[in-house]
Amino acid sequence: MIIKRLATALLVMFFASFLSFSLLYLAPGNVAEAVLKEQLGFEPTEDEIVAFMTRYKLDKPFFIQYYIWLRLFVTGKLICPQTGESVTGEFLYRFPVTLSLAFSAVAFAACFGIPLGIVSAIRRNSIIDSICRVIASVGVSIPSFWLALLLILFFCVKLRILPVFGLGLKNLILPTIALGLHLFASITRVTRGSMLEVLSQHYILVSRAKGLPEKMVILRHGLRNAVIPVITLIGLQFGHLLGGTVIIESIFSLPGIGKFLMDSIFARDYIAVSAFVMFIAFLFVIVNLIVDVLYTILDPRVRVE
Amino acid sequence: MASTLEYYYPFLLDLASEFRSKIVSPSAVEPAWSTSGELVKYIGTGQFKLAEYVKDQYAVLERNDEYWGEKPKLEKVVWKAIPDAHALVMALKTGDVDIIGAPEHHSAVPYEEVPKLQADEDIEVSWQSYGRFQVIRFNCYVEPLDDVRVRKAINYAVDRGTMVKELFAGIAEPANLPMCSWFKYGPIIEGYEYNPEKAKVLLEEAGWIDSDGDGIREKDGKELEVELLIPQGEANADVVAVYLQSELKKVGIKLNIVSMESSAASEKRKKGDFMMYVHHSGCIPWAPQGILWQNHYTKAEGYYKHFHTDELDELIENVYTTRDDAKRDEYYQQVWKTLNDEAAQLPLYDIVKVVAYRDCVKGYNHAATMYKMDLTSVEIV
Repeated sequence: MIIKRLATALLVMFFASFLSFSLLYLAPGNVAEAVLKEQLGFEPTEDEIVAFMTRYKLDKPFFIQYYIWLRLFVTGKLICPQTGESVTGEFLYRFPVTLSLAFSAVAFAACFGIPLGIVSAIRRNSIIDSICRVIASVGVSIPSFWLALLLILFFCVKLRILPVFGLGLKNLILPTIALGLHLFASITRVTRGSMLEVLSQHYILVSRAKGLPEKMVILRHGLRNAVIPVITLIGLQFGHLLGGTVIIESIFSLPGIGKFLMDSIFARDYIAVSAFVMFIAFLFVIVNLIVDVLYTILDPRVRVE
Repeated sequence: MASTLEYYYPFLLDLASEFRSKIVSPSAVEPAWSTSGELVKYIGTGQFKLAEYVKDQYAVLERNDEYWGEKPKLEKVVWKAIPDAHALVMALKTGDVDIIGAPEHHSAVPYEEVPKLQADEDIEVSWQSYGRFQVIRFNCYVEPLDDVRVRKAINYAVDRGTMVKELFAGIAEPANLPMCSWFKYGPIIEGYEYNPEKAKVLLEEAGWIDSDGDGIREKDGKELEVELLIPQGEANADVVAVYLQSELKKVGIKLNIVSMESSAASEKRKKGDFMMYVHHSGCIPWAPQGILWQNHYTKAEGYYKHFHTDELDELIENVYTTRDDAKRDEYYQQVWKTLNDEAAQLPLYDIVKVVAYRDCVKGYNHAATMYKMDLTSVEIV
């Protein structure tokens, strides 16, 4: 069963990379020109372009190029035309940054969103509930880049309590908020809805009738069932999160894979982009696996299958 | 090109151009002395040594005490990578960085931020003109721009003075010549002044009349419509394009703005699939000769839809091969006259390099070229 899943995953990864390879290859624009123009600050001459393309074998026919790419990628020797260094190296250098950013955004969203959703559900239609719902609506509507700049303006320029850019624990605070706000709002709403549905179930009535303390009713019996859609949500939103890191990484100068991927696309660097797509697809496989495992822990009905 | 000429005057200028040639130590490549070897070490000869380099984050430079020339006052420079322009400005405001705009060749500090920075007591702003104009190139082989009267009319129709004052708070200077006049061999001719009446007369002469009263001229049933191609990220091009649109409408020309991602725009331009393209007139020392060669010399095979004639090709060849300085200047002036008379381009304004720094930074001087950063006399007090 696991083997079947892995095989499907591998197929998806390769198909995704082939698709991105072809699309970027066919797109107008030339990787040699884009990269050289960036490096020189000026338009390159035809000779320079030809030299660059020969060096990275970009002048060969399409399928030969793909075959070379495949061979080099699998053996770990693929070189990224943008930087002249190993593609795997570029990914591993930047991946920890994006991972910590995404992870802390999810943690922030969950740690604040789930309790807020629970409170909202318990105290339904009260003032607290209204406030929480407003926060959720606002959170979903604010664009992340605008929020990021606003946060910098307020916390860094006006209050001077946080640094603008760089890497470090303090540096992660603002990017986490900017990136995690959407997810936080979504989690709040989903938790609220899910909790309301669960709390109206018969087994909740039974556990109250049994004489269990309210806290246990809510957390052990209510939340455990209500949190399943939230896990689904996080798994689904993971892709958005990765996409959102592009803007956040640019604004806060965090050297992550999001920004590098964007730069590669602008530079038409299909060699690096396809490799990154492979890695990211692999990430998705892992995330989906984790989500499935969490299901089996939380929901016994899934285990029997 | 150099191999077919006996004498190539810009040889030293090309060597001095930052981006055309870099001097590499033979032992920095593997295998040593091989021109197709791989760069394995950074060996430089400058005022600062590279002490630490963290990719995409920062570099630490230390003063090179063995430098042959004037040693800089600073002991250490930390060069941080900040990709976003707004974050850059905010980093200066908070004091996380001391100086911005110096390493990039232009437009690191957006013009619209300058008044706000000037208002800040702790920050000083300074700018320098390097004679690099933002210029719009015409595709002289497509209708209606194949008619020189239309190109001239466009040049007369734009009020560059007002544009610079309104859009850039007077920071940049208006430009109406194909190349900066204070360059050596620069044009000493009169450019196009703002004269919308003359523009209208020229368009009427060319047969473009507004027959249906909608404000746009027509000829043979076709509207006088031109398209401006902007590569995304080109400094200030968006605001300038909108201004141009309104100026051209006043004389009856419809301007369509097409903003495209820079690789795609570049490809269109190479194919000749454009009418007007936002470009620039080059930086010293590669201007004026290099730009002339790349844009108007047919055998350079760069941009074959820009203005080309056999006479112009011959003039450019003469420019490159004449030994006599005075004669070379004559040839240059003929080139400028041709380009100006044929209105092969629409010059807009002088792109100045803006640098902003905190007032603890003393002694900053603008470098000799746009690409360089001169920190020799800088000290922090």
